[in-house]
Amino acid sequence: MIGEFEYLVLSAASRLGDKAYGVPIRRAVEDATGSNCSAGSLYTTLDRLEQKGLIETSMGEPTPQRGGRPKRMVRVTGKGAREAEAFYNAVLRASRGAAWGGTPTGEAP
Amino acid sequence: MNRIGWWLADQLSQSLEPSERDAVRGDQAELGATGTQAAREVIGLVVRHQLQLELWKDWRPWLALLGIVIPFGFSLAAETLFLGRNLAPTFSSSWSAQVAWAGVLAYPLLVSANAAVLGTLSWASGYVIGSHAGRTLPSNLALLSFVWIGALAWFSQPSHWAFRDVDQYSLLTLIVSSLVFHAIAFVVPLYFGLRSGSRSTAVPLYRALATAIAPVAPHVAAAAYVIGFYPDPGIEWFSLLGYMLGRAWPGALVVLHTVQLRRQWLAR
Repeated sequence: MIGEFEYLVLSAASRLGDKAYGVPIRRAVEDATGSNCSAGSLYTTLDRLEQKGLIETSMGEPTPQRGGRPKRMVRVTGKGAREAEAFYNAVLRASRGAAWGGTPTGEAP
Repeated sequence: MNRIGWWLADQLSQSLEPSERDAVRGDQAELGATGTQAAREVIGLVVRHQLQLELWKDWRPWLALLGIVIPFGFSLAAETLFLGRNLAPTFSSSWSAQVAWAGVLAYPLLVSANAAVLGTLSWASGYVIGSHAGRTLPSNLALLSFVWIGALAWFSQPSHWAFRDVDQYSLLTLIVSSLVFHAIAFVVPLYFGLRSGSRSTAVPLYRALATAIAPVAPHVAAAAYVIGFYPDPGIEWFSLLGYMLGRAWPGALVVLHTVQLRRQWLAR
């Protein structure tokens, strides 16, 4: 089972598609959580996800906007999509019947 | 502050894989990060990498850490400070007429010989750290800095026994000369050794051998001198041998690494 931050990164990369690399993934994670996403946590997570075979990364073209440095492009693999889906379903199951903010989130199993 | 931050980020990011370095620094440029933010982010990333167990599963970083940084970091830093301070009075107070010309000539030679021996040992230590630490270099350097600052703090305090009963001028001379000797015999050669080692620069074999022989040569010469003049010199041979092997250890590792690099080069 993947961790919650790994899930956030996989979700962001999946949503961004072929535009997924460091900066937009960081923004997406920050938008979703409302808290800062550091380069350290993002890139160590990307390394870990790649080692697990959940994503594939490749170096893109260098751009002047980035000081002539290339982007590290991210693509979610089939295995990564399955793991993210499993995590999402686990969160849904775990959340059934829980009353966050006084409103039950679903029926009890 | 901004420029220092960018410089620090540049230096620290050298320990990252080139692709990761480009990606991170490119992201920072795209986000318009300040120097301080860039440095903080790179420090965070480097620290996270250093804490990964995978980096420490290899034996080489441990050799750099346990074989050089811990045993030699403090002792070499301390020895160069200590020796620099003990050599200092020969310059500050012995230039008077009571000193013979032979003595005046001998002192610079003594200082140079000591600086050469300790400088060689420092260079060899730096080379081994640079060539073996790999991606754990930031951790090894952090620990080395820690023991270095410890040695500086311990041996430079004016309340230390060697600084007692000296006037203010002599005290300043002692501290300055010990720090100058320390820089010449420890800091500068260590830096160049680290640089050569981390770039895996192939050292000529004769120079590698010299790094192993030079630190023990004065002790071999002194032992031979004593044996020649005294039939029963009272030398503790086992201790002396252990001490000399310890002094030759970083140089011996430089020789082994050089031989390894040569074999790799010949195999291509």
